[in-house]
Amino acid sequence: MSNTASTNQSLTPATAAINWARRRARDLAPFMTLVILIVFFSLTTDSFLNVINLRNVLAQVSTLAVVSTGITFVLLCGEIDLSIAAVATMTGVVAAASFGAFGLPGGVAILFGALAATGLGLLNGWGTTKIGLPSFMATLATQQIASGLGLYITKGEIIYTLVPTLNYLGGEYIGTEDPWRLPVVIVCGTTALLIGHFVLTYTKFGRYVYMTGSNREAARLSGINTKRIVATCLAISGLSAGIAGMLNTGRLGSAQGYGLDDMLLDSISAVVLGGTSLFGGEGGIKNTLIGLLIFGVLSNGLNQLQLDIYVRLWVRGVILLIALIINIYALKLRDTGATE
Amino acid sequence: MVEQTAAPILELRAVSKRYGGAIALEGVDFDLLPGEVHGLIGENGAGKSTMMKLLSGVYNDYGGEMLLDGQPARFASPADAQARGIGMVYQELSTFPHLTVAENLFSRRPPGRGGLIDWGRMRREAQAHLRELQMDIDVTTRMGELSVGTQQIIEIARVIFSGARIIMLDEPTSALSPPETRRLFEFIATLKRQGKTIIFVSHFLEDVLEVSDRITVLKNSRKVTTLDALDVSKHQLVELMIGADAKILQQVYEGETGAVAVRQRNAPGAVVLTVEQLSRVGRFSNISFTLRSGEVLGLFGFMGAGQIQLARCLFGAEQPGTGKILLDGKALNLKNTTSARDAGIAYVPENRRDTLMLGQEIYKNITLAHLGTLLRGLVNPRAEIEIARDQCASVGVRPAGPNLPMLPVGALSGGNQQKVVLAKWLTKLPKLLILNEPTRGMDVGAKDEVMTIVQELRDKGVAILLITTEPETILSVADRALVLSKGAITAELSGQELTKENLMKHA
Repeated sequence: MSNTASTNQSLTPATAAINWARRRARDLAPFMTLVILIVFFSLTTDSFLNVINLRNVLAQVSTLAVVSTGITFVLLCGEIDLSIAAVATMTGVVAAASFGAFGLPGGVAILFGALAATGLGLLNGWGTTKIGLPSFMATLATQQIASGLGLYITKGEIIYTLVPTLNYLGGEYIGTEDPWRLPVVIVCGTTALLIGHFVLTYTKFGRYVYMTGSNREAARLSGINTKRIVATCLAISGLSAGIAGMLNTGRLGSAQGYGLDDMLLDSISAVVLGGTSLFGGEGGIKNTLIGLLIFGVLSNGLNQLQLDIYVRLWVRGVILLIALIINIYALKLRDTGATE
Repeated sequence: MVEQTAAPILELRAVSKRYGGAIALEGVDFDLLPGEVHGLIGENGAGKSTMMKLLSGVYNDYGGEMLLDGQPARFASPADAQARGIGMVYQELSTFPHLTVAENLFSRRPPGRGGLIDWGRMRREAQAHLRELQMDIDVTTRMGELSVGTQQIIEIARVIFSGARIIMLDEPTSALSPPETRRLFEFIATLKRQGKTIIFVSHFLEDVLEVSDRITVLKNSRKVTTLDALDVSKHQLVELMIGADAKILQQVYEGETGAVAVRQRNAPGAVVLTVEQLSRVGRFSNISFTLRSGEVLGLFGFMGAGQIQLARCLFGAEQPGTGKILLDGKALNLKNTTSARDAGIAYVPENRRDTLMLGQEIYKNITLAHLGTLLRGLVNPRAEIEIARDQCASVGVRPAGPNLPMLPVGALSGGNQQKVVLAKWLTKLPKLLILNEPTRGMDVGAKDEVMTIVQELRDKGVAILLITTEPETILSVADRALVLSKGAITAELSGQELTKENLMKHA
C-alpha cells in the first residue's frame, strides 16, 4: 500500500504483482485453497469432477448460503449470532405447522415463519443494543427460546405436510433432463448472496455496517446510529436463518424440532474460511461465497474418497484448521508488507 | 552537573532511515552524556519519533551506527533494548488501571518462584523501590485511581526498576497540570542525582528549556544543532525548528496575548448555542454559557476538570443529568450522536482513534459523517473520492498525491490524521463545531495550519467551542474564554483579561 503512494520507486512488473497480491491476501488465500482442494479431489477420485456431482455440491451449500449471508452482516458489524440454527429449525416448524395444523394458506404460513424469525432477530437486537448484553449472551438466550419453541410446537414429532412452495423451492428442479436440471434451491442460495452483496457494497447501510464493525466508537462519534445498525444486522440474520430453515424443510421433505445443530458452526466456518474477519469491518459476500464453496467441496470430496464416516469428520476439522492458518498467515504477510 | 569530558553513554553516527521512498532520518549524529537530561525538539516529520523508535529497538534496519557505552550496538527488538538498559515511557502511558501500583511496577516480572507470585514480597519491594526514588505512595492503591501525573511517575519508576539507565520520555508534560509538571521535574532531578540519563522529547519549549542540560534540534529529518540549554532562548529555538517565517507559529509558541493583527474578523452574529445549568453528577455542575455564530469560545481547564464529558454531552455521546441545551433558540434533546449531527453539531474528540477507522481508506472516513446527505441513493466511490480529494486539499493533508484518498488513514502521520478528522466534519459546514484538544501532540507547523482553518471557519460564521489544556492555543485564536475547574466555571475572560496567567489562575 505504501508503494502506491511513493513515486520515487519504479516498480518492476513482478514487484507490482506481488504488491497487488499482498493487498488482496484476504481474498486470494481462500481462493487458492479452493482451487487446491478442487484439483486434489479431482485427481484422487473419479466421482468428484462431473456435472452432477458439482451440481450436488452447490445444492448442498445452498441453504447454508442463505443463512451465511445473514451471519456475514452480523460478523461484519462486529457481533455474533449464536441463535441462527435454532431459529432456522423453529421457523421450518412454524411454517409447516401453520400450514398443516392450522390450515393457513401457504403464502401466509411462509410469511408467518418469516415474521417469527425476524422477530427473534429483533429480540437479539433489543437485547444487544437496548439492554447492552454482549451479543454472545443475548443470542445464546434466544437460541434456547427458539429451540424450545420448535420442540413445543412439534411435541417431538415430525411434520410431513409442508407448504408446496417450500417443497418446490427446496426440493425441485428447473428443467427436466439430467444432468442439466437446475435445483431450484441453488437459485435461492444465489439470490440471497446477490442481494446481500448488493446491500453491503452499494448501499449506505452497507457502508455503515462496515464502519460500525471497523471501529464502533468512531462510527458512533461520527454520527452513525450504531445501535440501529447492529439491531438491523441481527434482524437480517434472524430472517436469513428463518428462510434457510424453511428451504431446508423443502429439501428434506419434513420439518422437525431438532437436527440443524451443525448449521451454526458450518455457516460461521464458511464465512470465516472465506476471509471475513471475526472481529468486524473486513470481508464480505464474495468472501462468504468462496468460503461456502470450500466447505462444500471439502465435505463432498471427503465423501467421494469413501472414508469411514468418523474419519471424515475429524479430517474435515483438520483441513479447516489448516485453511484458517493459511488465511491468517496471508494477512500477516499483507500487513508486514504494508509497513515497509 | 554533566561532566563534559565523560565519554558518551549513547551515540548515533550518520544514522539514516527510510520508509519506502520517504526519508525519515538522514545523516543524524547524536551523543548522549551520562547523567544528563537531553532535550529533543523538532516538528513531527522532523524525525523525532523515528529517532526514538530507533533508540528503543523498534527498528533495527537503518543506515549508520549506534554505540552503547562506546561499543557498536544494534537492538534486535524493544525487549533487547530494554535488556540493555533503555527505557521508554510513551505519551499514552502503558499502565494497567485495574491493577495496583505494586502489580504495575512488577507487571513484567512478578517476584516469586516456580510460577507462583509472592504478593507480600511484591508489595514490600515495590514500596521500598518507590521510597528510594523519594516517592511516598501506597502501593496497594489501584492505578486508575491516581492522577495522570502520578501514574506517569510510577511508569517511569517501573522502567527504572526493570534496569533502565537511559530513560526516554515522550511528550511527558502534555497531560499534566502545572503542579504535576513541577513534581515531574523534581523527580527528574532525583533521577539525575542517582546517575540516570534522560532524553526529554517535547514540543513544550519552556519545559525543555527548564529541565534540559543540552538540547538537540531536528528539522526535516536532519539534525540542526545541539546546544547548551543555558545558551539559548525560546525564540531562538523556534527559529531553529521552523525557520524564520512563522505566521501564527510565533504567537502560538511564545504565547503572546493581544495579538490583534491575528484577529481581523467580523463581529459575531446571532446566538447559536445556549447552555443552561447543565449538570452531570460527578463530572460537571451548573454550566451556563452562550456562543454566537462567528465566535471562538475557548474552554480552558486542566485534565479531569470535566471538559471532555461536557463536550460529549453537547454532542449526544453522553447524557447530562439536568439542564438545557438550546440550538438557535430551540431546546434540543440529544439522545444520540445522530441527532446531534443532524442538528448541525460537529465534534472532534481529543483522541483520533475514537473517530477514525484507521484501517479503512481516507475517502471512506471523510464521507462518513454526512454520507446520508452528501450522496443521493447508492454509495458512489468515484464521487466520494472526488469529495475526499477536495477536502484533503482544503485542509492540507500530506502527502498530497493523486492516490491520497485511497490510502488507509493509518498510513498518515498523527497531525495529518487530525486534519482528516476535521475534513470529515467540514463536508457540510456545521453550525456548531466542538474541538477537543485539536492540536495535541502536533508539531508547530501542523498546529499553525489547524488554527488557520479554525479562523477561516469562524469567518464563515461557524460557532466554535475550543476545548484545550494549552493556553497558547486559546490565546492564538479565541475571542473569549471560560475556565473550567473541577466541573464548574470559575471565570469568563475576554479582551485584556484574556492572558495566560489569568487562565491558569482560575483553573
